Amino acid sequence: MINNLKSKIKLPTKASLYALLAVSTLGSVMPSAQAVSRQDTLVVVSGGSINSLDLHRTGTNRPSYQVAINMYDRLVTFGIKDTGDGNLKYDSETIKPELAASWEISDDGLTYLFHIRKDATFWDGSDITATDVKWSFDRAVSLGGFPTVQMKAGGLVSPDQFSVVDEDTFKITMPKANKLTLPDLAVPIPIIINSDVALAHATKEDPWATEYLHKTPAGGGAYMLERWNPGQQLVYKRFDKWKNGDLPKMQRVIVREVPSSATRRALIERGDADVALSLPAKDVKELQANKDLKVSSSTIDNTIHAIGLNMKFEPFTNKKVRQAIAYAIPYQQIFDVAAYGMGEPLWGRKTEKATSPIWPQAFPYSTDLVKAKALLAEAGYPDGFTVPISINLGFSQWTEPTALLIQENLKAIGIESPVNKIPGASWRTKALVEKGLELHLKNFGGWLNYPDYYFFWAYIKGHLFNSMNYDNAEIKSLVDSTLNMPIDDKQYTPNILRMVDIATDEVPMIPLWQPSLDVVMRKDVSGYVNWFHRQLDIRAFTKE
Amino acid sequence: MIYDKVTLIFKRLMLAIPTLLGVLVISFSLTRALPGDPAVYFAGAMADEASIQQVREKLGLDRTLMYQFITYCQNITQGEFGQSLSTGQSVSDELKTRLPASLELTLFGLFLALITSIPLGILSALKPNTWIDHLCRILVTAGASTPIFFSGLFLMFVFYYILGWAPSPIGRLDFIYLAPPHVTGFFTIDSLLASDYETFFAALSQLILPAVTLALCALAPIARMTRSSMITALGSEYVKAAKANGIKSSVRIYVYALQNASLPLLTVIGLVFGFLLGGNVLVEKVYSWPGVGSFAIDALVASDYAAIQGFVLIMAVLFVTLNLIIDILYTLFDPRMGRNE
Repeated sequence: MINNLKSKIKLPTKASLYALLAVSTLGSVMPSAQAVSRQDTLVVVSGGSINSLDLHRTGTNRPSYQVAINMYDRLVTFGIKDTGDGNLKYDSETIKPELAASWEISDDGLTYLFHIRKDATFWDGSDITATDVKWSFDRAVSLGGFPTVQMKAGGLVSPDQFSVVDEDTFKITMPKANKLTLPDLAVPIPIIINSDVALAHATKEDPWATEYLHKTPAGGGAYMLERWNPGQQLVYKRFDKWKNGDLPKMQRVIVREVPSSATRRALIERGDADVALSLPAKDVKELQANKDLKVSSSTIDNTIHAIGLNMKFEPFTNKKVRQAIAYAIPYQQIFDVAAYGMGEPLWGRKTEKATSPIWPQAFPYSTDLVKAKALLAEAGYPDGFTVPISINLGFSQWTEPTALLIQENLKAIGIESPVNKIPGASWRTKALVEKGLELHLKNFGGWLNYPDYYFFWAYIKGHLFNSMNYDNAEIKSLVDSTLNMPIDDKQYTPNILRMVDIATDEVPMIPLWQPSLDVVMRKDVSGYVNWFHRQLDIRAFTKE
Repeated sequence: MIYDKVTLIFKRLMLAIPTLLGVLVISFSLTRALPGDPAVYFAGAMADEASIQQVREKLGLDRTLMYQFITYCQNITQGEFGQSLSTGQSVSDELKTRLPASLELTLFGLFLALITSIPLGILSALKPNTWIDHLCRILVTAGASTPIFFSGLFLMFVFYYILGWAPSPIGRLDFIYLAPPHVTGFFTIDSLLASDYETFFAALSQLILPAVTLALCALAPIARMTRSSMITALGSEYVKAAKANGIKSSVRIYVYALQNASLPLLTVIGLVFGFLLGGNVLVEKVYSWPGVGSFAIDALVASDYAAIQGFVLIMAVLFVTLNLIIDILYTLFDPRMGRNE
């Protein structure tokens, strides 16, 4: 800056006036930018674009979830565990305090009392009170759309359930005990917003201040907003008085949008970026060998890449046809070519019945074309049939090679399957809402890591992720009774095993593999945590 | 004669209005014909029937098409293009920041293409079938046959990844610089206006690789057109007559021949410019350039009606203006225009 000033002094009057103006205006903004060295700054390159700073707003996309995670606090959060190979992963079994210092659950599971940390403040210095919590929760259940649906998953549906006991005590009352309530408070949705600031900007048409919070966060999280240039970058700066966890190490974090994965790879290899997100599996595989880089790769909980068989398509109503297809899939080849071996295989289990209540788990099918052909003949289709295989172009990196490999093997048992490519925007309508795709590649992941939660969304008729139109009365009644059941209940494990066994035998959905979440970092960066929401929690990052 | 030219220009201006109206109707109906339901897309991953319906009502998609069109036109007259759902910003704000980014890149790329291809075209026309003509031919063939994403990645690979000469390809400015105060929206010009030379050089260095990529692609048609129209002009009777009259060769070439050869050239430049502006999505993606091209593609993928309509409309206005400017330049360059009407 000083050099700049010197050189400008010799310029003609008008220009130097401009220069002074520029320097003085810059000067007021720059110190924060300059005071933090490159060592204390983390540079992240990401492929996605952040489109809102308010998670509750209609249309907020997945990359924007990170704002809710880093700039806002929740009452509770999940613990973090080491997966054994040096990678960190969230721990769905431990719930830790975040804004709530402690909490009590009544024995019948119907009332929750949260004691809010006394020293916790918002960025503007005001105390975080139970009133803010109530306002924020009311907002989440009232706005409609995604936040409301996600709150409902934990049994939180109405503002009447939330009450302020005193300034530091917040109460939730439940009509029915639900094991998902507490975990659901640790997902990104139930964030605590500074209600005074928000209400000051609320209008009659917009009582929940969605327009204001869309561009101006008002919270008390570990990071606050330094700058947001939509479509280009988001710059976080640390909130030094954060009390709801260990103070993060990085003072400043720049999340820069770099749409091309080839460019992201070049940036991380050259060392201009510290963390590169969503690189293709092929690049990740190659970068594992790079000595200057470090790759964190672990599976995403409760998520499966699978083939869906739609019951609306006549031949698929026959169980034998579905099993025939399950035997015809070239699992290993798909795993090698489409996933580059990253993730967890979900085929070839040795036992016919499930032995443990884990999910996802491998199904006992493996590639056996002779058996497939025999089953097809038994079902009355010795000459096969024609069925299009639909794929989502938004995920063409894995869907395209997978579809081609499946096509080849199905041809060997007499089934013709032309590939039907569907653009990402129409996929949801066609696959999930209209549920009209005969044979399709699907991926679904449940945020709450319980098998019954997955079955609730993916195996019950009419539910969004049951793109197969599968209907089974036993699974339905099992899910209904298990969903609220605590996992130490005697009936829990047998119920889950039964669900898995029905899903295995009836096989409306053929699991392929459990995908992994891969992040590439420079050698000196650590602290990446694999979260179920797949977004970056920058609070844990360090740089040596 | 001047009067004639003015009426001609005025007529062209009037003709632009129905074109724009047509674009308005077409862009509106085409976006509605796109596959995919925006309400479903924007309701989010876990949305149920009720919340999808809620979103639909919020977006006004439950009303009749006619009603939607009329509100759309009303909003446009107030300069309101609506809200882009995929980027969460108002479309006019998006265009205000992204259009200058694309224009700066395209104009700089076109400028680079012009200063190399026109001299090259003239030289190869003057000395056909010599080494310079062959060089021109090789460049043109290479430029025309290399796909833009390849040359973009290739230049980045060589100059950034291997040699490390170019700055990191992360957009208009490295993150250590702040954008100059907004005047034109062109970072190079704005930083010069603010006499901030450091930012100027930073912005310029970010521009070079993507602009060269664009220039490589624009080079081919311009050089070829210059060469062929110059050859025609040089062989024409008026140039021969000028030669017989003993007019200097430099005047013959640069005044008589070039002025006439510039007419078809203008058309090509106009076309190339339009092509570069709308079609440089791949360059924008590779160099993380926050321009209109990538904005439009993302909007298309998400069936983001307001954004697509805004983009199509603004591009239509740009094209109409461009054609207008070229027509006006034509009337100025071509002595035959506006004389016999």
